Amino acid sequence: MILFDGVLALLIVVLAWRCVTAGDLYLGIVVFIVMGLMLALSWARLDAPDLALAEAAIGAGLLGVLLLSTWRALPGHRRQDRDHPPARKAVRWLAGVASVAFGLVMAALLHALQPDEDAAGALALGRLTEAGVEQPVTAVLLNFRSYDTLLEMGVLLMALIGALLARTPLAPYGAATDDGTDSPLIPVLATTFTPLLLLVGAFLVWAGAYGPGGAFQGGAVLGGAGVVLVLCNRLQGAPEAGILLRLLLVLGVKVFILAGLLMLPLEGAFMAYPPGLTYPIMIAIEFCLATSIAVSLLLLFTGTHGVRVPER
Amino acid sequence: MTEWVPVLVVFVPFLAGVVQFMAGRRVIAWWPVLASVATVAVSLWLTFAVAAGGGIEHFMGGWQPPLGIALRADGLATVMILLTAVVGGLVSVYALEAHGTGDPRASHFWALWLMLWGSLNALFLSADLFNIYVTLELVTLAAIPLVLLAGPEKTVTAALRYLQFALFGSLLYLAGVALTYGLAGSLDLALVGPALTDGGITGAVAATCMVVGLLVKAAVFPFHVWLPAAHGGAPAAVSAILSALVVKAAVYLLLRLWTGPLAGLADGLVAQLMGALGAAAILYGSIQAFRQERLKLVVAYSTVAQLGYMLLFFPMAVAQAWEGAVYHGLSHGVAKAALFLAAGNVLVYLGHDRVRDLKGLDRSLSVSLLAFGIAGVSIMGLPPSGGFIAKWLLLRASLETGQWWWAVVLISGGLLAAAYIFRVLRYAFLQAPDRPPATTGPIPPPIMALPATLLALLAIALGFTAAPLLALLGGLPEGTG
Repeated sequence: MILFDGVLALLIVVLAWRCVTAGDLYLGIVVFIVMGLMLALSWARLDAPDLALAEAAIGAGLLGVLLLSTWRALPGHRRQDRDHPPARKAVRWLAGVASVAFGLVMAALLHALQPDEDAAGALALGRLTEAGVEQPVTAVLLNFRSYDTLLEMGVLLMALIGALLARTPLAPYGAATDDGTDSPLIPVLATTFTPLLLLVGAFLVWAGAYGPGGAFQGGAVLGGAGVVLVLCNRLQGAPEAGILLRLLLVLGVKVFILAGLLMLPLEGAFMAYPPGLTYPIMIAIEFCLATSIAVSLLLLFTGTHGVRVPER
Repeated sequence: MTEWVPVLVVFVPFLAGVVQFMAGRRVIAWWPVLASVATVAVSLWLTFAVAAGGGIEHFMGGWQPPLGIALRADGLATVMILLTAVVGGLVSVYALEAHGTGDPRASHFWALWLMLWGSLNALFLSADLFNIYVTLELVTLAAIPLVLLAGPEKTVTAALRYLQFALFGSLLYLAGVALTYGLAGSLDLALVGPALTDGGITGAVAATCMVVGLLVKAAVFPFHVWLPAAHGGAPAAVSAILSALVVKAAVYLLLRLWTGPLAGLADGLVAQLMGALGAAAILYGSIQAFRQERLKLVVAYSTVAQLGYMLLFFPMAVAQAWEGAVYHGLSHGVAKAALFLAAGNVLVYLGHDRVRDLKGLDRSLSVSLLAFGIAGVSIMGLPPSGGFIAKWLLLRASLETGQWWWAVVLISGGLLAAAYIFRVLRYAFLQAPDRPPATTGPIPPPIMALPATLLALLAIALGFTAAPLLALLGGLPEGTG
C-alpha cells in the first residue's frame, strides 16, 4: 500500500500544480475536480471516511459543479483570461516558494507531534455513551461542539446571500441554455437518479448516528439531486424565493437555535440535551440541517434567489 | 438567569437576522427596530451584570472545556460588546432611513447586519481557539456581502480582494490552531498556555501563524491593502460598522491572545516588531489619508492609521498601555462611525465625495459637518475626548517604560491626523462657494444626521467617563509583560 499512497500523494501535488498553472480556465476547473477526488481517496486512506465523503460530495462534486456553472455564465471573452490582471513573475515565484516552504514546515512540525492521551479528542471518545450517538464525529459536531456547527450554518447562509449578490453582474448574460435537454436519455436520468439520490442522501443523514455520514454529506447528496433536476430542466431558477423555500433555507439554523434556547430554562445550559431525548433531538436537528444545506447548495448552483418548476 | 446572558447576547441578534432573512421585505418597517432594541437591551444587561458581579462563564451544551466550548464575559469582552451595542444601535437608527422601505436590498442589509452583530458578540465572548476561527469566518462572510450592497458592479473587485485577504488570514490562523491542538490537546484559551510556552519551535510557529493571520484580518500595515477600497466603497452604514467594529474584532483577538495563551511566548524583540508595524501603520495611513481626493477614502485610510495605536500596547505591555490601547479602540469606534456616517450624508446630498468640491456645504449639511468636526477632535486626540485619554495613557506608558520612541510616534500621529481632518474642514467651511453646490440628492433628514452627531458627542463624552469604563475593563491580565 505504501506504493499506492506514494503515488496518490505525488498525484495530488502534481494536480495542484497543474490546477494553478493551467493555461485555460476550463482545464484548471477540471483538474481541480480530479484533485478533489484524489483528496477524498487520501482521506479514505487516512481512515477518515467522514472527511472522504464530505470531500467527495462537497469539495469535488458540488464545488466542481459551481465552478463549471460559473464558467458557463461568464461572457465569452472573460473565459480566456486566466489572471486578471496577470501577476508578475517575481510575485508568482515568491508565492510558490513561500507556499512550499510553509507546507514543508507545517508537515515537519505536525509529524513530530506526539498524540496527547488527555487530548479533548481522546476525552470525547471516552464519553461517547453520554453523547447519545455511537459515531464520534457526529457526537462532536452535534453535541460536544454543537455550537460550532450551529455557527457554521450561519456561515453557509451568509455565503449564499453573498454569492447571490456577487452574481448579479453576471445576470444580464443569462444562464446558458442546455443543448441536448431534448435527448431521450434525460427523462430516464431524471426519473431514475433523483429518487436514488434522495434515498442515498437521506440514508447518509440518518447513518451519521452510527457510521460515516451526517448532515453535511447527506445534505450535499440531496442538493446534488436538485442539481440533477435543474440540469434535466425539471427545475429552474426563479428571481424571487417563496416563503416556503426561505423557510427551508433557514430551517436548520432556526431549529438548532430554538432547541438550544429551549434548553436554557430546562437544562440550565444552551444546547444541553435532556438525558434520554438526546438521540431523537439530534436526529431531528440533523435532518433539518441537511434540508437547509441541500437547498442552499441548490441555490448556489442556480445562482438565483429561488427555484420553480418550469411551465410546460 | 445571569449565566444565560452571554447566550442571549449572541443569539438574540443572530436569530433576529435569520428571521429577517426568512420574512423578507414585508417586515422591514418594524422588525429591525424591535431586533436592534432587544439586542441593545441584552448587551446593556450583560454590561451591568459584569460590572456588578464580575465575569460570567457559560458552558455550551453543559460540556466543560476541554470537551466543550465556553463563553466567557470578562471585562475586555464586555467593553467590546458595549461598544458594539452603542455603535450598532446608533448605526441601526441611521440605517432605518438609509436601508428602510425605500431600499430594494433592505432585507439583505438587515439580515446580514443583525447576524453580523450576533457574530461579533460571539467572537468577543468565545474562549475557544477553534470557535474563534468560526466566529472570524462568520464576521468576514457577513461583512463582505454587506460591502456588495453598494452595488455589485462597483464593489465586486474590492469585495473579492477583501475575501482573498480574509481567507488567507483565516487559513494561517487555522494552521496555528491545528498546531496548538496538537501540542496542548485542548482549544480552550485558559488551558493551552503552558503547552504553547513549552512547545519549543512548534509553539513559536503556532503563535506566529495565529498572530500573522489576525494581523491580515485586522488590516495592519502592510496587510492593509484591501481595506480602503472595501471600506470606502461600501454603503455608509456598512463602512461605519466595518471600520468601527469588524477590523477591531481582529485587533481585540490579538490583545486577548497576547495577554492570555501567548503570554509566556511574548518576546521583547517580537513585541518591538509589532509596535513598529503599528507605528508604520500610523505614519503611512495618516499620510495616505492626507493625500486622498475622496472623503470616504480619507476616512478609510484614517482607520489604517488609527488601528496602529492599538498595536503600541505590545512593546510596552504595562497596565497603562493596556488601558490606553483598549480605550483607543472604544473612542476610535464611536468617532470613526460618526465620520463615516457624516461622509455618507455628504455623498447622499452631493452625489459625490470629492474633497476639493465640498465648498459651501456648511449651511445645508451643518449637522453632519459638525459631527465630522467633533469626531475629528477625538481622532486627533485633543482634550477633552476619548481619543485624548487613550493617547495620554499610551504616552504615559511609553515614558514609564522608557521607550520614548513610541511617544514620538504618538505625537506625530496626532499632528498628521489634525492635518487630514483640517484639510477636509478647510474645503467645507473656509472657502466661499462661487455658486451653490450642484446636488443630486435631498438634504439628509435628521434621522440620518443625528446618529452621526450623537456618536461624535459620545467620542467627546468618553473623555469624562474613563473611570467607570476602565474599572469595568479591569487591569492587565496576569502573567503579561
